[in-house]
Amino acid sequence: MKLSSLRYVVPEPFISLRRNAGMTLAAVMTVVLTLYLCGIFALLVSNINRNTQLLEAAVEIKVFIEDGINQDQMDTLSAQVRGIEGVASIKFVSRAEGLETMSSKFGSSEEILAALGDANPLPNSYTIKAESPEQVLQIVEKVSRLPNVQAVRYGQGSIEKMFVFMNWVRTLGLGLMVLLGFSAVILISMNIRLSVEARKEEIQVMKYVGASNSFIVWPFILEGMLLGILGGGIACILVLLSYNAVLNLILSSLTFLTFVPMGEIALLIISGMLLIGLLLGAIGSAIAVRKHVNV
Amino acid sequence: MIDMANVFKTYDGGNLALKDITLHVDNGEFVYLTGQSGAGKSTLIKLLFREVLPDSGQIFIAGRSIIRLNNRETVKLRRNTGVVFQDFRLMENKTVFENVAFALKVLEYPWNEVKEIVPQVLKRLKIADKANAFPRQLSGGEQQRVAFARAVINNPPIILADEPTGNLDPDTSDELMNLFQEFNDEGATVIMATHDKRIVNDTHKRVIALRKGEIIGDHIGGWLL
Repeated sequence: MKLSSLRYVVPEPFISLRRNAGMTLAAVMTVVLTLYLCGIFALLVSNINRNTQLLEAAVEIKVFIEDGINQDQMDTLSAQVRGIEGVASIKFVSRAEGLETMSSKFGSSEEILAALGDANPLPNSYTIKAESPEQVLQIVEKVSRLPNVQAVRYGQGSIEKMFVFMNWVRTLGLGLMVLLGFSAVILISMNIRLSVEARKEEIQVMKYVGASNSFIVWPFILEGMLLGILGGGIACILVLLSYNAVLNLILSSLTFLTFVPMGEIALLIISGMLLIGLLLGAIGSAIAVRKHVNV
Repeated sequence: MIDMANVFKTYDGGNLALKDITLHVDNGEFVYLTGQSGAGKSTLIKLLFREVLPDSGQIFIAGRSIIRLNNRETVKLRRNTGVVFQDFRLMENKTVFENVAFALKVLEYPWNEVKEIVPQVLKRLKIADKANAFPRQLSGGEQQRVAFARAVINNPPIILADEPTGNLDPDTSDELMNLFQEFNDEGATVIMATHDKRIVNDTHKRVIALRKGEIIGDHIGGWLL
């Protein structure tokens, strides 16, 4: 097909979609529904990612130091910890600071302090941050073997369980998005196939007057892409509206969770959904018209 | 111009459509194919624009075999062949103008030429006032004129017609036949399948008669069906 034929091929899908308004509406609604669900899952996954990353970044290793060691031993220990691979930072927390932090965490510090009397049961400690969450266990293991270390704590068990859970949700979300993508391809393909079947005679006429394969097929491919973009456009508006509503509704009540801000994700959602709609439409219609390509 | 040599065609289910057809049609000839339903007229027409392929035998158009053509060559063959059917085969969701213009679009004519040529042809075929109508809004005769306009818009050297008057009343048929005659006079080779007694019995043109897929007569002049 020559480039000049675009003049004829490009307007065809617009005319066809307008004249088959009922079918177009049905097809667009299907795409909207599928891509809407895809978009919601995408938001869910990206928010889970964000929270997991924050939690991962927040994992700290507390190293409690034996009482009664001198400054030299302390310096040696500090140097040894610093030397462990994967340690990003190390901060000394004195017994007094530790007690202060603890009492502020528990709120009414007066009672606790009163119960403790003048005695401070907390040892001196180091707070270590790892370069990446995967290195936490290995650091813990190495630190525990160092001399003058009383105990090492890093939120054992619960953190790992939460990471496993988050990973599951993330994988499930991605899996569902892929599944929904497939179903969108099938649905678009079925809609275009209906359109092809309804216009079988027209395609036959095209062949009689000597239309080439590309001249016959491209309008359908473009029609699919147009359906995809239309559906994708509407779906992404709905997704953004829904996200906005969710943010407004629960942002204030769920303070322990962090949400990806609208401004940060809107462009990604818009471009992503339009592109996915376009691709799904093209693939769907290519599948539908494949068997009609031979003149 | 057109040569067929020992052509056989059997459809699925063993239905023999054409048996050992050999014929020659000269450039600019007007030939009627006649015979009862099932005689093989339509199959013969379909073979000439490659809608179906023969089981054996050869078909030559302008000296070139059309049996083994690739997609591009098939497209070229059809662009040089105008086809008119009994059931018009218009694109229902396109206007008269668009139906006729479509053949030129396929040939990649510039749009300004399309806008110029289509109204001229519609005017010549007396359907200019129907340019914006859809096929369902037209009478049978008008629809056949649109189909005819689409077939001849690029002046193809060959015009094939399969029972073009089958759905038309006698007056409308005569008007359509005059159109075929006009284009034949201008040099087009016309091959028309028909079992319209009024046309075939009175003609002074070549009539090839078929029965059960075989040629049983090839004469100049009328053939009493």
